[in-house]
Amino acid sequence: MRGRVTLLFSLAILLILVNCDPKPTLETRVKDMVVKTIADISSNFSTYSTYSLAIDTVGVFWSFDPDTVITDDYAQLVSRTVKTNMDNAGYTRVGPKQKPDLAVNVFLIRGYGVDQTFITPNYYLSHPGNYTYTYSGYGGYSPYPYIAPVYTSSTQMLIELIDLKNIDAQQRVKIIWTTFAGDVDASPDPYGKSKEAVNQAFMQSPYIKK
Amino acid sequence: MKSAFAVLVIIGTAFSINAQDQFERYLAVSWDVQAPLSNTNYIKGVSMGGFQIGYRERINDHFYMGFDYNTMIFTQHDPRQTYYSSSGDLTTDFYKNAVVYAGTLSGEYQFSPGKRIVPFVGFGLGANYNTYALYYNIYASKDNGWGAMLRPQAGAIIKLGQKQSWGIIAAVHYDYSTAKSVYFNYQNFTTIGLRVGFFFTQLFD
Repeated sequence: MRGRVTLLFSLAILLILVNCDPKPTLETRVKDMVVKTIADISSNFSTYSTYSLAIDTVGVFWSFDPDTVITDDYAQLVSRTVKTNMDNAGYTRVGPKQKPDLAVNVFLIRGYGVDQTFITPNYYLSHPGNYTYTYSGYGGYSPYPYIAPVYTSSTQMLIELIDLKNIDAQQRVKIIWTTFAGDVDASPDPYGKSKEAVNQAFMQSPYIKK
Repeated sequence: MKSAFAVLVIIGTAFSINAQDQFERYLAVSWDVQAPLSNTNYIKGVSMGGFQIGYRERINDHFYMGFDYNTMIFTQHDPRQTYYSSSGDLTTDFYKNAVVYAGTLSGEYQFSPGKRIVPFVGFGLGANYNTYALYYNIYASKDNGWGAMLRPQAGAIIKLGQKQSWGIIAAVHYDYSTAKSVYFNYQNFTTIGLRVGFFFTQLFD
């Protein structure tokens, strides 16, 4: 009897090990960036004419280190790709003191949890979309379901269009379009794939048009 | 034509041969092929990644009882595309999987236990644990859940060997589990499957 139990238990353990979570390799998954765009549907993008954008400069938000800016080749490539898309959409770039209708911000976000940047595919899974994700960060309790980065040094690109034309009485502005794209650092081609992600963001947002 | 006739003769003969003894117990190890029937928007298609072990003890001439344990893995890759919705638009590819671990107490009724080919019908009742994962770039969404499982099945045992102490077992089975995942939109987890494997009656003697 003992032999039977031992044998059956061994077989069960073997089957569990055979069928663990079949996670695809990181190299397989990061060939292209994830691009998510969120728009304020109450905004009419054709009512704006001008925009301001810092060319060759990209802001960087760090989770642990002080925020900074980069002005290297990457910043040049990304900011100019954004400019090209805005120009192609019919908007005119002006200086920040020339009262632009829109401000365009480009950032990199380094080391923040995924829940803080909202790249979630929940709508795609036919979920109502009002679920509150709870992810308490590294080392914390993470109840299911959860969304977690499986790459420790995540870097995401953030692009924002801010409405400067309709500032309210309290001098508050509204972000009318946001792009999240990632992961930049995990990409085998961060320059090429970042440019591709910017183009994809505008391509999937045809409403951005003068 | 001759070969077809030979197959018919063999099958007919097999049904007519009495076994030396009706076995007291058997252990079966099977490869399991399944197709999901629920929430096929998430994962669909046939999966070859299943295994099952089963054990039965004879209760009387026709009835055997025991348990089954099986695991099953479903995977699917959705190529890169753009998904549009009111809450945002997303471009990515998805690597999806669902893994099932199930254990059932099972009984089966064997129609001709003394013959070389033994058809049977069975029913299992137990529990299962499912894990779900969705990978996209460096991100992953995961969920899991328990559920009660019902498994009717029908199949046949084909005894082989001089002592008929081993052979082939095959069965079609329908698995219904109450395991839910709100995030992955599973109200239940239902599959249909075919398992084919070997059984051994004297492994412990």
